[in-house]
Amino acid sequence: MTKTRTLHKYGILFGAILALAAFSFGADLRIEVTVRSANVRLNPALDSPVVGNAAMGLVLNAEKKTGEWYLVELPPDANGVAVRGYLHESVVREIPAEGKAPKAGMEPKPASARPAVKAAKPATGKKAPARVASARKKLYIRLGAGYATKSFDYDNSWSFPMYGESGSASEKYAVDASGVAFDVGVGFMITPALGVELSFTPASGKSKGTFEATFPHPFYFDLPREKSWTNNGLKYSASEISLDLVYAIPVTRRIGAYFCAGGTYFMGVKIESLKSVDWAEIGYPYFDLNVTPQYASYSASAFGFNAGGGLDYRLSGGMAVNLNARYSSGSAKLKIEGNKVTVPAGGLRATAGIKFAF
Amino acid sequence: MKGTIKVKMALGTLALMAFTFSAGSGQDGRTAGREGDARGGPGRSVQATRGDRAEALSRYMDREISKGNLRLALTQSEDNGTRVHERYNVFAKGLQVWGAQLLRHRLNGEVYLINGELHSAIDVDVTPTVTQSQAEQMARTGLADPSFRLAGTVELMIFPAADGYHFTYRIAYAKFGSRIVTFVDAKTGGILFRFEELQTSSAIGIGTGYLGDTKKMSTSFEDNTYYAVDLMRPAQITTGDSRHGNTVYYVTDDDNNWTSDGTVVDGHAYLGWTYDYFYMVHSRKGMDDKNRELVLAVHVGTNFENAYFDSSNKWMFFGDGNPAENYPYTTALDIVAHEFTHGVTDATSGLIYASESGALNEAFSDIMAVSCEFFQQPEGSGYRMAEWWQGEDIEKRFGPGRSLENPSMVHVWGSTYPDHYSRRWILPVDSGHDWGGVHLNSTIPSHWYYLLAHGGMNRTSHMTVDGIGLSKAEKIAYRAWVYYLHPSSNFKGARTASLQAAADIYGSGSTEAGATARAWSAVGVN
Repeated sequence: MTKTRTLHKYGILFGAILALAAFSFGADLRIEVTVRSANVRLNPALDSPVVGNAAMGLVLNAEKKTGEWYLVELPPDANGVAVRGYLHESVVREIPAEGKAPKAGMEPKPASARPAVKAAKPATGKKAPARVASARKKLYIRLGAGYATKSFDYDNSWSFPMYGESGSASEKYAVDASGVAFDVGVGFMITPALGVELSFTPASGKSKGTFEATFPHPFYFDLPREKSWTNNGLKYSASEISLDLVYAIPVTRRIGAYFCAGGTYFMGVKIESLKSVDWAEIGYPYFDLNVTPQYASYSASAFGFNAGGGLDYRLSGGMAVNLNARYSSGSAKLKIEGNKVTVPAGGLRATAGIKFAF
Repeated sequence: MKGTIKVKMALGTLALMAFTFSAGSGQDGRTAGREGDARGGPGRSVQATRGDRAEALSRYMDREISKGNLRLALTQSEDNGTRVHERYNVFAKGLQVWGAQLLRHRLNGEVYLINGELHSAIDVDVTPTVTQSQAEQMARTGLADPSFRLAGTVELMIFPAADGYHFTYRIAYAKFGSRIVTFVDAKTGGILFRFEELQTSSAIGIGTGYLGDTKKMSTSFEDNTYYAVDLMRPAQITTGDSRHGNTVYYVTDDDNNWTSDGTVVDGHAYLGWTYDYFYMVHSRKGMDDKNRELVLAVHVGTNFENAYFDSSNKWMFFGDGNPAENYPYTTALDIVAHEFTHGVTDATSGLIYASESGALNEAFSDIMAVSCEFFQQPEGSGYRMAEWWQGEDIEKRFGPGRSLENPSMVHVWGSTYPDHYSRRWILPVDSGHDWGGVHLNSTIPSHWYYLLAHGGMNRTSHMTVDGIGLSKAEKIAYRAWVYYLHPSSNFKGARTASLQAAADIYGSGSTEAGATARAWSAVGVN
């Protein structure tokens, strides 16, 4: 990861310098493509990979000429990417600037004489150093809906004094926060490959509680009344705000992939849990009693992390269809009636939606 | 803490007095307290907030205060006097109007609310026609329990009844667990209103028994004190202290931690355990099967080496024994259960306490006592453990008072307890001879029970019996004793009764009936 990042750092630098250079050079070398589709190569060599194509009649400003090759920058494409590379002199002709005559040896040759070289797709992993173009869209908004899976268990237990002994309560919860998930994000691409994204994902679900409690007998030691019950309607909710670094990789012209990772703030992990158990004796011989459990919501916030990625299928007008998948994880430390209970937060979610680039 | 204690209000109630009580009866009907408008009186409920109305009322109040018709009863101050609540009792003709109060509330000195009851134009003739003693007699009527005594002072009051104001005597009668207030019309002598003034709640405390063990105490809390009165069982159980004299006193504790008198703790807890045994195993509701109140007294006499059931008042008495040899008699669960069982006999078969019927009386007390022990205590030999002995827990030198398993191991009067009819004591029926040897010969039937439940060989007849188990044997024994024995039953009659009982439950040809017969034969009763 670091190597290509460094490459890109240099790429940015190089691009900046070239931009300055192009600017200072002005429009000294104007060339026009004279073949139907001219190959723009990475390096000034015939065996160098093709990084782009220039159509017949395209007029370009060559920054310089190295041997038989002109260094050019193609105009930015639909995604704002401006490819830079080398055109062979045989596929172009120089256009004299005002009053200037074409240089010798620059005359265009008939197209049929040139070997037709098929424009090849740029090899993955080797990209033309991208330059920050003023027309490139950096800001985007991502909206998605999909499915999240999250389920976990937690438990709690405590004791209370009663009739000169201790009663006990034990709680087991199975939380299921799987279901429809929404995801909203706002991102800024600092470079075409690197950006930051702030996203928000709410989550909620149901909790099934299984409870057991023992109540000492009023007359005898070690003869507790045991009660057990369930509550399947308890609630769970957790919302996440994530701040991620995004690393974008173009796959094809239309499809881009990205990875993201960063920190997540779980704001208000909230669970409904047992608060207390009210009891009342029914009567002699006290082998049974009435029990009324009371529930309450408890919440805490937590920091965690997340990692994920996705695919963008670029449509026109700065819109793309987006598929996003993410795994987030954290643990919230709740205080439930004096007991410390750790509850996990986050989960795995996949959404599909739209990305708008500005 | 987590659990909130909500205990049902007691069936009985308490009062703070020490006196001998006679046979308890049931509860008198409890009438409603002051909730809602129990009296349905003629006073008008008022509520006036700021404004002219409140001001007018406040001025009215000041006038009535100066006339003595409103007297400040209590001032409640909040926030360093920012808010003050004044409560005034209502008077007319120098007498207080019962239950009436007018309240004035101030915020920073200014009246913001007046509420309460407005009584005006109280035109009542306050010369009594009925004398106080006549009124006292009237107030006593309807309180069936003879232990009710006059409590506090008699007051003349104005009672606001539905049909107007009445000039009345307010009289309170109290006994342990109750304080009934009655309003008697001072003109007509009729009872206008009556209610229960005492509030009690049950509490579970912890006590230390005489042998140092910890037991739960079912007690009552009232007037800031805990009493050794169990209100949580259907039959109220009271443990009292004779203090070696003729009066039985209530036993109290400040914090429901009963550590000062283990004899009280043992007696109170063990009587409850005995009640539980009879309820759970035999479905019996206490001594008389009607949940009659139970009373036991400890520290009876001085070094008194005995315990007894008094059939006149149905109370149980326990001595402290000879300190050189004994622990106090409530230290043994089977002794407490033994005395209680006398109460059951008294309410059922009525076995006469002489000769063979008396021996049966004694035997069934031992039989039920030991069965209770096996129900409540772990099996084994030692203090607070269940074994086929009677009264071993009060012996400082551990050993049986009587043995159901091997009666002749215990020596008495130059001989031993008999395990066979042929070895019975033949004695005149008088106090010097144990009324014909009622204790001495009791081991013949109680040994029968041992053989029937546990099985074994009789050392005199050498007959062996296959035991049918305690839970079957106790059902047969209980049934025979409660339904078929009568005051003059003898051992033969007991054999017949138990065979009938076994046939009732298991069938006349059953193994259980057979074992019952064989066990009687083994002890020489045919």
